[in-house]
Amino acid sequence: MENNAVEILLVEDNLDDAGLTIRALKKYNLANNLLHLQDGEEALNFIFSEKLAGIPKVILLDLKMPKVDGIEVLRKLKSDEEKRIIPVVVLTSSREERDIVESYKLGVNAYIVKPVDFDKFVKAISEIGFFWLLLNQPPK
Amino acid sequence: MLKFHLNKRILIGFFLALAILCWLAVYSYFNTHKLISTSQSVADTQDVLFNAQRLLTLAVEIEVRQRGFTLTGNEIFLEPFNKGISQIKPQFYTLRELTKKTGTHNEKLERLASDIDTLVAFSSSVVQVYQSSREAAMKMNASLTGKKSLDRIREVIITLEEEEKALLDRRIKNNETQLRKLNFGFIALLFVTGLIVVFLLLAINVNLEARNETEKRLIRASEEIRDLYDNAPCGYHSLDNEGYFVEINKTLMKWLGYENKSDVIGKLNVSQVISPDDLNSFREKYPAFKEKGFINNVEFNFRRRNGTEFPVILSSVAIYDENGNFVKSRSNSFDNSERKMAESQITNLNKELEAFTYSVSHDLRAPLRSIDGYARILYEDYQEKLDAEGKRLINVIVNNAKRMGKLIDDLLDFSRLGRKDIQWSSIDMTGMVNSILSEFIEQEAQRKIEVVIHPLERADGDIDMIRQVWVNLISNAIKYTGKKAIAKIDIQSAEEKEEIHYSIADNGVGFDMQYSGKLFGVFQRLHRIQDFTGTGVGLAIVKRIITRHNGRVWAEGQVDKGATFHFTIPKNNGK
Repeated sequence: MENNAVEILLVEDNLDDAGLTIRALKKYNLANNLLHLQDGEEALNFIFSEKLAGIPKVILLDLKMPKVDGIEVLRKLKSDEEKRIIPVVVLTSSREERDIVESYKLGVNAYIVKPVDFDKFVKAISEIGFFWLLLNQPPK
Repeated sequence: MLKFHLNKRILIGFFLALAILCWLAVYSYFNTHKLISTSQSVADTQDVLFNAQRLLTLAVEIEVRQRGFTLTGNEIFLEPFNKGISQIKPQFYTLRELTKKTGTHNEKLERLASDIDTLVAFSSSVVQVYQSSREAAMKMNASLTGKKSLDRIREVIITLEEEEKALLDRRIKNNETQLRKLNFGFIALLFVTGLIVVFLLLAINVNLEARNETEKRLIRASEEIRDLYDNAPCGYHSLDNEGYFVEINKTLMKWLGYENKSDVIGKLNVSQVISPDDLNSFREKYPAFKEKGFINNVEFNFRRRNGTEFPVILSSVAIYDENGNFVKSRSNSFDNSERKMAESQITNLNKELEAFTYSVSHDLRAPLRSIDGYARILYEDYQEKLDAEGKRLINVIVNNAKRMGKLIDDLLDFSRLGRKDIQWSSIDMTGMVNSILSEFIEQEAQRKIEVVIHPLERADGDIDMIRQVWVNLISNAIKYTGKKAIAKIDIQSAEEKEEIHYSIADNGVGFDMQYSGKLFGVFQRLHRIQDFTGTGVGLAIVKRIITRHNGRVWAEGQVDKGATFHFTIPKNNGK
């Protein structure tokens, strides 16, 4: 993985949820260049590190995380002149209106509520993967 | 005009006494007058007597002097004789004049006049005859004509005197009787007047006593009102045109930290009482209030004498004089501290609740997803190794996880409803119901569903919420008619006096009316989960939405004969 640039950055503190997401992506062969980080601090460190080669095609960001939460990560990213171009998809259990509104105000590219139902979950994740990795044209 | 405050009986008594006194005055005036005239007539009588006596004296003088002269021939007798002759006639006239008033002596006077004339004529002729013949004169004397006339004159005068005396006696007696009568009447009437005055005194006393009692009662009542004003559990005050306190009750004074009304009335201005933060808002509102005449439930912070503040709710009415000029305000104020505290507690509770539902939505769902997801993964990855029972058990796990997910979602929907503000608009109910129904019927294409939608009245409400109501009611109708060969659903509305009444009837399984109270409770279900799916939140949501729209909701049903759900929405809602 180190040889290839990270295509999907998954920021998710819940390992079980992350496992499901990764499995869903793997099922459609979309998880080859995926990096899973477990909280907002790790994510910010990674994105703002000097060594970062290229930029991810999409960041899948959970909102509720220990230390630095998803909203904070989003604010830092989108207020950075260089990093704000990275597409960020909030992937969360929260359907709270204020979370949705806040995320969009900060410039999120999509907001997906994780379905509880596994079939729907797999479908949702795979569609996100297809869209952002294959259909979407990211900035170079 | 003079106004009487005495009662009728006292007035009548007073005027009666007054009338009697007037009458007494008139009566005594006339009687006094009578007395005076009686005294006058006594004097008159005495006058008559004196003059009669004098007349007699003159007559005697004439006769005696004439005889003396003719006997002696002395001229000394002639002078008094001539004086008598010249005076007797005028004296007679005087007497006649005096007795004219009584008028009883006319006949006697006539006789008297002729006798006097006879005496005068006889005496004069005797004196004359004496000049030429003494004897002839003596002869004439011997005829005793003069003496006879004098005797008649004396007799008449004596009679006249006796009569006058008798008259005088009668008059005096009469006078005495009159006086006695007068005195008796006078005393009797005075006695009556005295009685009336005593009665008046008593009546006035009773009156005054009643008045005193009334006054005492008035004082007591006004003390009670004052007590009510002063010690009411809310503040009362009045402000003049410039905002100075003209009245204040003790409660408000205590709140503000003042001891004596004299420190407040006319001295304290409301601008010293209103918190500096609210002063601008007050200065805006006070002139508007004076114009408009009232202001209701405005919130201000009041500043105590020691500088601390407390919140109040204030209502006022303005009082105007007959020309419409503002005189003063009449205001009450309630200490709002407790409510403010409660409000902030509610705000805190709401925040806590929000935090709670937020974590529920996030933290409860995540593990469920794992349960569902990993059970499915277990099935996918190990299905060759699982027997039928193993697969069934995994299915149970998956179904329950799904069901719990649904429960959580519904519960969150329900709690979110309480916090969401209503966005009022006029709703096209017919269009809304049609679009919802067509979606449902599409999903249930294999079933036979007959729907009748009558034209529905528009209503004012929140479009999303009312849609939720119809979705829940229609989905229930479709769900609970699932076991009928042909499902029948009838939706209609009726405009009533103050509200619009909507209803949706179906021919489904219905329910037992004795459980109707449970229908609208959260998580209350009347059917087994095996028969009909659901979480038991749908109707609770319906009830919550309709209640927030100030409407009512109820249901009628019969087992196996269908159910009808009703709800109402007030007209001119949200305005």
